[in-house]
Amino acid sequence: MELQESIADFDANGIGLLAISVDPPATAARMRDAHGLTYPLLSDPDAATIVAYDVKHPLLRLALPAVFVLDSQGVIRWEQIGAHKADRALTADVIAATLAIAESGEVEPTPRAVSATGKSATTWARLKGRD
Amino acid sequence: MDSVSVSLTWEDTRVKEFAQGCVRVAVLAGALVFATSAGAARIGDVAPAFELSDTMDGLVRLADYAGAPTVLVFYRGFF
Repeated sequence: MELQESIADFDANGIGLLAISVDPPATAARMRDAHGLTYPLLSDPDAATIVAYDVKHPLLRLALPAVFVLDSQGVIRWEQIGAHKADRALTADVIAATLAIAESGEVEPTPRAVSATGKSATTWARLKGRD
Repeated sequence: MDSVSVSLTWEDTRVKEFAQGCVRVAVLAGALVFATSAGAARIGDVAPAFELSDTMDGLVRLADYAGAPTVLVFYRGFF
C-alpha cells in the first residue's frame, strides 16, 4: 500500500497503477477506504487473471504478492513474484524499474532484497535527480 | 475377540485400493500445481489482457492503459 505515497509521481509521469486480488468489489472498497487508496483495486474473484499471470497460490484461490511492470506496448519488462504473503517487492525497486522502463525501455532485474522498506517519496526524488 | 478384530494387510483389497487412491490424488494434485505454472506471464511476453470490475461498479481493461508504462500489483486480499 506504500505505492499510494507515490501515486502523484506515477500520475505525473503518466504511469498507470492497478491492483488486482480475489477480493470482491465490496471488500476492495473497504480496503480502499481504510487505506485511502486512489488507484483502481480490481476484483478477480475466480482468479482467472491471477492464473493468467501465473501468480496464483499453489493451493489456495489467492494471489501471491507480485508486481509486473509493463512498458507502453504492454510487454512485461520487470516482475517480482513473492513466495508468500510477506515476500513482497520493495516499493523503491518497483519505482526504480518503472522509471527505467519509462525512460529507456531497458531495465535490469532487481536483485532480491532481504528486508527493509523503501521510502518511496524520497526514492523518486533521488532516482529522478540521477538524470 | 478374534471375531471382531479387523486385520489390515496389503492383501486386503480395501487397503490396496486406499493406497492406490492416495497415489492417484497425489499425482493429480502435482499435475494441477504443474499445470497452473504453465503458460506463465514472463518478462518479454505481452501481458495477458483482462477486464475486471473495480470498486465503483466499473470495468477496467488492461487495454485502457496501453501507451504508457503500467504497474500491476497482485495482492493476497482479504476475501
